[in-house]
Amino acid sequence: MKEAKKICFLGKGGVGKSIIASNLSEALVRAGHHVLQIGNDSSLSSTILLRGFTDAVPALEEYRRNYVIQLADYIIKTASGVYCLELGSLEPGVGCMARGIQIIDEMMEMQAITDDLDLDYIIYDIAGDIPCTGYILPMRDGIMDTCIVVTDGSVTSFVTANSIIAGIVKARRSAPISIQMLVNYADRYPTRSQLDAYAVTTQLTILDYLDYYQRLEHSELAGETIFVSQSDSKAALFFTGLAEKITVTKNIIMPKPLGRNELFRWLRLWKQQSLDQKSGVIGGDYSGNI
Amino acid sequence: MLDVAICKGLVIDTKKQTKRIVNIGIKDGEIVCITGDDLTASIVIDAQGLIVSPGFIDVHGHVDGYLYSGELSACQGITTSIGGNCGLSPIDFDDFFNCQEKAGFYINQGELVGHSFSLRQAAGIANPYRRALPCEFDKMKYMARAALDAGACGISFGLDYSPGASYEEITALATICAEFDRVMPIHTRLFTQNDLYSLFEVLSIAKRTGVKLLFSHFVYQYGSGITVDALEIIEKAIRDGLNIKIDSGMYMDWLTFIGTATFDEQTINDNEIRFSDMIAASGPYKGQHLNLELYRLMRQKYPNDSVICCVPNDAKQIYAALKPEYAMPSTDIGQYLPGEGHPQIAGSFPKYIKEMVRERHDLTLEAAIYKATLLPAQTFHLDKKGQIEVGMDADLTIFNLNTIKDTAVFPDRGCPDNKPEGMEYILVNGVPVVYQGVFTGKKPGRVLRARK
Repeated sequence: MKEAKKICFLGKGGVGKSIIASNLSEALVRAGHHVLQIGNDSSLSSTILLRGFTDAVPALEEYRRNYVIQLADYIIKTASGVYCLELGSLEPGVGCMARGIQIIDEMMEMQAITDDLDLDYIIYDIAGDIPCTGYILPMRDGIMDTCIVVTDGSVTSFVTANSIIAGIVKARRSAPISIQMLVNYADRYPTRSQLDAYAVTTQLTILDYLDYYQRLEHSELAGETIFVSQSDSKAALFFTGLAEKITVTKNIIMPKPLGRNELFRWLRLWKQQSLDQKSGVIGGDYSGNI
Repeated sequence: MLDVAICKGLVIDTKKQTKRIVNIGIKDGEIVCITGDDLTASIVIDAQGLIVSPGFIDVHGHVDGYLYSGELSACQGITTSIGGNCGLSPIDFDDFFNCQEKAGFYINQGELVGHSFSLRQAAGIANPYRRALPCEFDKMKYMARAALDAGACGISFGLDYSPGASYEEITALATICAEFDRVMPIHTRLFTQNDLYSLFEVLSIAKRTGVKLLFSHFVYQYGSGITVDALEIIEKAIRDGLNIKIDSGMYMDWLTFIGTATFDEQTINDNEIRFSDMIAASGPYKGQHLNLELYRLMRQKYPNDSVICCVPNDAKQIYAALKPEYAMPSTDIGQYLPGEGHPQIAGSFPKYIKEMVRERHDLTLEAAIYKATLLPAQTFHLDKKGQIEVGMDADLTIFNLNTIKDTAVFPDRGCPDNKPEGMEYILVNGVPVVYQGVFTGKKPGRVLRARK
């Protein structure tokens, strides 16, 4: 039985998880790998850049309706070769998402999806901001091999990222798992310097920094990946490089996320740095505003 | 001459859900006449002013031949108990049934073969978090089939106690259960308090195999505030053609063995259970609320003692779970020494009648009795039980609707095995095991081997 590497993208809504996951999935396919991307947002928008106007039927919602489903019926093969699956979400206000991903994972095994599609990578794009038990279950119970927490320079996305990392670290304290950070809009001052410092303090591995690319933004607005019309752009090269990095297995070092008081101290410092920069102060012990 | 005559009682017809005053004649353990005429018999019971019901059938118990549990069951009107629930049962059913017949027992017993503790352990699986290997699958299937051949009335699951059991493992046993047309009671596994996928995974297995499902102690599973949502899922599944019943008790606070996976520290943390909300129900610390130290001590030294987990009390969920036509009352009775346990072991059925019929009028008397008698009899194919008709087994529960009352309390407040009031006569196969409110100690109970 074939084992695919399972990578999940986590982070606050709006930080760019789906755009990054979709472009990475396509980059992996272009590098010769077989990839399935799975999203669990109620909007079914995780895979929209990959599948364009092809409608996705949410598999978990169909499972709750029919009890038995054949997952292959819900997997879309896109023109680029990436396989896409949207799980859908809960009926609002009823139950919790806990085990939705576990059930699909077990179904994939029983229905030999990984073998049939000869999958090398399964990219999970997981919606949700709060690391409750239900959210953490797929990471805790060994479904994921690698967790990539996405953040941008905003305070809220950083706090969410720190708390997701804390949740995974706690759940996997006796069985370490690869946790890495991917920084979006990294060139927006002072994001990169801040997260560099955070990574050093917490012993977190930064997988990569994605700067703002207008072409990437335009491709997203056009409803397609960067590879469709800008395959030679810097943004496309970034994802090609990211696909190479993903395939490299690194030593697992579990980070030590910040506690609440420590987190608040950092946030105050960062806000002061931003204020100084916006106020034109020069001559501090950091140089990003010069 | 008749052995027993029951005269002038208000007799419940569970089939038509009506009641009328008639006399009942019993001979050789069977009901032989139902008449308005006067009857003479060796024992004449004056049931004037009393309700005469078929004996209650408890579809979810752990009596398993334990005498004191049989006594507590009988005293609350239960004449038949289905044991071996939650995946905990005997494995050798010929031996179990033969021993019970030889020793005699107060009430009738049907018995399930259990997956999650018993079959798994017998197949060599000690770790509840691990999946079964193919060879262990085969062993479990072989033992389950042997038990069903010997008369086990179904295969029970306590998935909370074997979180590692795979879908394939459960499905394999469900397929055998369906093949025998037996019942599959399931104590579902919730990975978080609001985990409704615990239902869907089982519904999926029922859809694949056609097995008859019985969701066990429903409020204990879904009483965290999602009972109504869970019932809606069940009702849709029934409309979709799945064969489903549920059973539920009269209490919110559940208990189980302290040594099980249910009380693992991870689970306690995940569900935000406080040690102060846990009460030792048996053993040297009976009645004490736990703290971390006592919790760890009991886990280590007394893993087979039971602990009650108190949850926010929301009784309307209890009534909501028992009201649907597919729901049956149950006790979840375990095996305790006198003075130990949870009040469910002594008070469940009287509490059900008292609260849901007499006080709240959630159910008519006839409907409540039907759900405690004929519905479980039909569910488990007990063709001669659940009705008061000529030719039926003379299992009868005679009680006073005006005085019926549970008196058992939680062990931090008193005796959890206080016997109820208002249960006047309980007959098992025509023999009084409770007479004028007093337990007689007679052992007319039979083992109920499921027919091939």
